[in-house]
Amino acid sequence: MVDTRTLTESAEKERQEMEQLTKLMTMKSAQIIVQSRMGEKLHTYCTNQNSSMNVAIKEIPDVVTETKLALSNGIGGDSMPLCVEIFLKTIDGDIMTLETWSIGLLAESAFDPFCSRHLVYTLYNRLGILLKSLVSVSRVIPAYRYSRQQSNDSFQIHHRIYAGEPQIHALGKEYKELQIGQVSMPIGTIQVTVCYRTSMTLTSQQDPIMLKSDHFRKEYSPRHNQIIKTPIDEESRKAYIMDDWTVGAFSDSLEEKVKKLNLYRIPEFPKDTFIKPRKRAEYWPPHMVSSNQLSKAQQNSTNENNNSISISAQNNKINSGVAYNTNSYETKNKTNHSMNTSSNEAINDFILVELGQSVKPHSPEDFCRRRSCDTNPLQFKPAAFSDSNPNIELALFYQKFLRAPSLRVRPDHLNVNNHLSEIVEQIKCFDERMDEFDRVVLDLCHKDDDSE
Amino acid sequence: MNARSHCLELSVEGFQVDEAVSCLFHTVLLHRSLGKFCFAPDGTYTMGTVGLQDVDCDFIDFTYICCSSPHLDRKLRNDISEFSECLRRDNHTFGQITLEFFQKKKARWPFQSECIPWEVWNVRVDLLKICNETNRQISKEKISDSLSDKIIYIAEIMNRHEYLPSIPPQSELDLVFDTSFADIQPYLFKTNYLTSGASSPSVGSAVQKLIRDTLSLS
Repeated sequence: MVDTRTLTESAEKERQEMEQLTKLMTMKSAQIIVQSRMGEKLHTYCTNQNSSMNVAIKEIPDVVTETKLALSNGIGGDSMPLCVEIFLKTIDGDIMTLETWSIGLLAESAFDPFCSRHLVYTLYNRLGILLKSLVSVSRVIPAYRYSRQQSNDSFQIHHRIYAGEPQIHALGKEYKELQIGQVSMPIGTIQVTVCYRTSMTLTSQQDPIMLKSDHFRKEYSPRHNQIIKTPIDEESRKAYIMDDWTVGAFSDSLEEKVKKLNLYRIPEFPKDTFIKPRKRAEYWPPHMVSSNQLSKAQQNSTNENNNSISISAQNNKINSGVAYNTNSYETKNKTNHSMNTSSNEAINDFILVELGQSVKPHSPEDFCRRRSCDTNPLQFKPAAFSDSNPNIELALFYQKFLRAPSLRVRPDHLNVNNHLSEIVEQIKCFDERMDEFDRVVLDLCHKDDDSE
Repeated sequence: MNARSHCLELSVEGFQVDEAVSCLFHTVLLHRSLGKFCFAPDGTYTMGTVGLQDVDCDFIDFTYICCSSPHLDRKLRNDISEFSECLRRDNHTFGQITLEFFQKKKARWPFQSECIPWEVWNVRVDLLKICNETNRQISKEKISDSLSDKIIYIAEIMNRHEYLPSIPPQSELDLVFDTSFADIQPYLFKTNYLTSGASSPSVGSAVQKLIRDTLSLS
């Protein structure tokens, strides 16, 4: 009569042995799969020494760690398959899953307590054959070729090991499932399967996304839109602007945007002012709009000046509410600073645009006078599509610079001619005593030699 | 006992025969080879480890894996080369090479031991003649796909729980395994080939080959 207790202990031992075998098989399979996608040719040697499953497979420590971690994190324990996901990553960062291998234990057969030792050896050999099949088949799946072609310049193959149901959806709509083999064991059936992608194009599974293209739409792209014919009349201009605009969330209404745009519109110039020869105008006439801030700053700057040259800016009238008038461009004197505005509101945003040819000063006095008088060598234009006025500070600075007081010679300062005569006398003195200086230098040199 | 027989068909050009057949036979032999056995005095044994090696084909876009045993590779290469040369030399249109696994059964004196095949792999080769380079490229891709399918098929067959000779005691090891290799121990196997087409084999040559094979087994 067989002792029941002994039988139970034996059965438990057999079960543990089977579980160890399953774990070993899983670890080896993960190694084979990962190594087959490393892009290197495998070469291991036959030995007379015994090793697990009798198949020479190198062990990569990182893969061992990853596999153990995945197995320990596996929800549900042994029933959850171990999955090895192989994916391709391009240098642009695009990722495409190529295949998903799964090594699982199907709980199909119950454990047989009367399992003999001979069965364990048979299973051992069967599992060895399954590993060989795994190695063989891993070379004929498309991902193997990609793994051999990988490089730092194009793409690289990566892997991910996890426990759980294989995530097939990452393989796209077209994929194949292949069962490498299965080995029935008393505690279940070990099964190795692979699902691999058959469509090797990088496309999104959802809505089409422009993965690699111009950020702008073609019609907005500066590349394709360098010459834009803007409508001339007011209505069509408005419609033109509104056509291409969409109202974003949390933004002002479209009508308000258009109003703002009108404020920033560059006023038109009479072309003949650039062409006509100006007989009397030594300096470029002021004809452009400035803001209230700018005019005030001009006034302040002129007030601060104690220059002898009077600044006529104080006499300027700022016609902030005056409509655009082409007739006001006629230059009547050097310091006529009539300002026109195209809008009822002040324009705070400007860009500096140099106009015309600058007149070269003939003398320093002339330069000083020019700098003081020519208050508008630059034209300020509103920058469209900008709400802030980053250039106003620059404009103010430049205006202040132009109106800076000219240098004056102090009355107590010595005449330059006196200085020159002193210098000449000193040089003459040094020249006369040259021999004396030479002797002093020679003495110093001799003393240095003696000390050494 | 009836042997399991599997037939694989290939359509390749003459210069691709060696590699195409090698990749199939090596895959089969990988599954049918074990590490060297080391017997202890008490009759127990330990099994050695089978090394693996990737082989890139020169004339086909294909990589296969085989046992890293130079001796085994040399033997197989010689057998396949003989078949390939015969096939190409005599302008045959097709041929068949067979890898047969067998086990011996001791016979009473004066009879020699009987060879009992238990698994046979037939590879039928159709020779292609391609003149166009474009067609050759297309054919190359087809051959790669065809070989892939056959490797998968072989793996499927190998994982079926079918008959395999049991591990014998040390004294009878030669009846099941080929112990002539120093680094590996495959099941006993032999290759045969048959060519046909332009020049049909004569009865005499077939008988000669039969006798030669019989004598080589003994």
